[in-house]
Amino acid sequence: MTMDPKTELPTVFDSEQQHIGNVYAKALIGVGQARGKLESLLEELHSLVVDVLPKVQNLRSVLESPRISLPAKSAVLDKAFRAKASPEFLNFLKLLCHKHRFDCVDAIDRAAKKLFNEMRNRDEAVLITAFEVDDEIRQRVRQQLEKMLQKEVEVRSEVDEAIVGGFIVKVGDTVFDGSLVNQLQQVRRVAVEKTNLEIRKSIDRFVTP
Amino acid sequence: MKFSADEIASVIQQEILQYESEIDVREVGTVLEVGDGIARVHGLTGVAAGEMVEFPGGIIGLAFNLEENSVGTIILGDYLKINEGDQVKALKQLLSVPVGKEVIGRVIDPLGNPLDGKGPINATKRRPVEVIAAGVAERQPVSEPLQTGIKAVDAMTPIGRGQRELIIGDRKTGKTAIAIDAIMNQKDSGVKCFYVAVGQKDSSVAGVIKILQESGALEYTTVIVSGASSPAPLQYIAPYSGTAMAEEFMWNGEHCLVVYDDLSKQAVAYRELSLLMRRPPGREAYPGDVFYCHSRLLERSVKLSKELGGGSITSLPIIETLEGEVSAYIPTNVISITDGQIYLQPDLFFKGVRPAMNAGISVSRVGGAAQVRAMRNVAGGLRLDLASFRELEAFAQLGTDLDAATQSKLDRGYRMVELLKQKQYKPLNVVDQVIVIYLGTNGFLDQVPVGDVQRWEAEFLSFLHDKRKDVWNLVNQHKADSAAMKGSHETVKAVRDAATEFNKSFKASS
Repeated sequence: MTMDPKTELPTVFDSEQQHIGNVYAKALIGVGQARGKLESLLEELHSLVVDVLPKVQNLRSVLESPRISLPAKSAVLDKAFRAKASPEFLNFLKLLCHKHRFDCVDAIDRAAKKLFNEMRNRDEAVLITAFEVDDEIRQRVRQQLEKMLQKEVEVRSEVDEAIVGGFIVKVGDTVFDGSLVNQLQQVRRVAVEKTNLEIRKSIDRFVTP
Repeated sequence: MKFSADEIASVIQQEILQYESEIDVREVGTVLEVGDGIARVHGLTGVAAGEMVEFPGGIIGLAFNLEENSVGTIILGDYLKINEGDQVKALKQLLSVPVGKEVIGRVIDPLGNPLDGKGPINATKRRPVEVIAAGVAERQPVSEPLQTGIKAVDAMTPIGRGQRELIIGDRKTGKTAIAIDAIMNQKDSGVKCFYVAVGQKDSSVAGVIKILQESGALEYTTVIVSGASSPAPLQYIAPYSGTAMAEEFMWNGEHCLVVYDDLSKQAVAYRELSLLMRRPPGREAYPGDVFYCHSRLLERSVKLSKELGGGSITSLPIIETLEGEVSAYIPTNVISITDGQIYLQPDLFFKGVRPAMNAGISVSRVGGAAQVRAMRNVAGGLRLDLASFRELEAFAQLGTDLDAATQSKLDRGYRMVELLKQKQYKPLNVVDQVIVIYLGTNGFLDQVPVGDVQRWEAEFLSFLHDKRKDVWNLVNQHKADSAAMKGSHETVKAVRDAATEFNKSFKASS
């Protein structure tokens, strides 16, 4: 699973929360399918997590707080989202507050995205390069990956100057590393190993008495 | 001595010229939490149980628990250098150790890294640490003896090549001493020895290494050390890696002796790992598969069939009991796995009976078939005789008057107990053992005062070696004959004559 850079917090990843997230995500997708608006529901969820919550800091703390009563939270949600959000999504948020699971909303978003991708036989890939790349390269990478993985791939690109050159593609847990920095490290490792071996084989060659 | 930089540079230059770049495909995960020798990793979706993973800095781990959302790994190295959020790489291979003659005579850790300061181990071969033991078709019954050089063991609980004989007893009862004596006695037999020290004080291991070195036994011995301060994962795998090194010789038709000192500490290390991994605790908080942990290890001690070269691994697992409690979980498990046990008792030890072996409950289930024939003829009834002597001795302490027959049985018993005593690090050749046990059981010591028996033995053996080497050679020649040292065989007469001759000159101390 590839996480959105804005919500990606690998060092505070909580597998228990992710477990709960999977359950809620499955339920949300079920609702979406039943009402025939799966994609719009997931979009709403994603935009809540990415666009709204980071900007309105207080909203999260209000909704997560156990000290604020449920009617008060409902009122806040109604006021904030009634105009824009679909009734199903609003209900979903109210349910999260009711079950005291609003803290899992990031995990639910991640899980929903993953489940949705799996349903559509789709995967997300991240293309990391040292410089900005144009669309054409991204398309070529996408085509190669689609041929290799036999599924639709969505390529997102990132820039990381630390890799010096080349590129890295991440799909799920698999990393295709063609970066210059990795190659340099490998050359170094092989050279050290070989030199070590040569010295062990015949120390005389390397020693000047 | 100076290193020349130019030569090194030329090697590196060649490497760079030959380097072919390939896209490095790897499977990765992220460390969620780390501590106490284990790490939980998110990702690594394709990893297999037991597969090696690599943490930053080249630290190796093993996938131990595959869970729904994470992978539990055990860390074989310094876990303090691993941080939350670090990237973990799956290596797509199983854990292996260097094997071959290069490891002989070395002191190494369970991963094959040298600990003795004698330089790197230049082994060209590696073997996986965990393998499934040879199957039924690849084995044959135990048939050759493995001499420990200890009279009590070789006579009463003989060990065959390919056997697993448990050494069990409380702390400080001489368990390690028996194993070390057995290693020392392999000097000219060509048996390769492996001493696996698990969870022991480094000072005691250093002591063992020093003794092995001084006696010349280190030349054919490998010491695998995972001391009390090493992390639990290393203590857990140490016996398996020691066995892997022995297997290399076994599959080449050679014979090996492996000492696991001791398996109770390995079980404790495994319990620690399992509890940290949140596997459910069972009896004594050990995990449910602690039996399998030991049985799959000891199953690897095998006598291979002739077609496969007939090599063997004999193992001497050691278990430490608490207050003589053999019915605890781990002792009963290992007793049921092994082919017999040598039971050492503290009260005998403090009475001066060393090795402090309890003849009544020590057994060898398969070794009898492998015992030297002469020894089998001489010591056949010894174990039961000694056990009945212990009963009689307890009865005699009541102070009742005893008839002459009982009294003579007691006298014989006292002398046999004396005769079976043996100093540490003084293994005895099997021919010497056969002759003195024959003389003891046939009344040649009845006139020797009990306190003089050990002196008698020492003087008789030097007499035999110095003046009557012909008798010794005769017994040595016939030791495999089924009639040797029995009835009216020529060996019997020669030994009796020599003993009579010696007894005339032996003076009891007053």
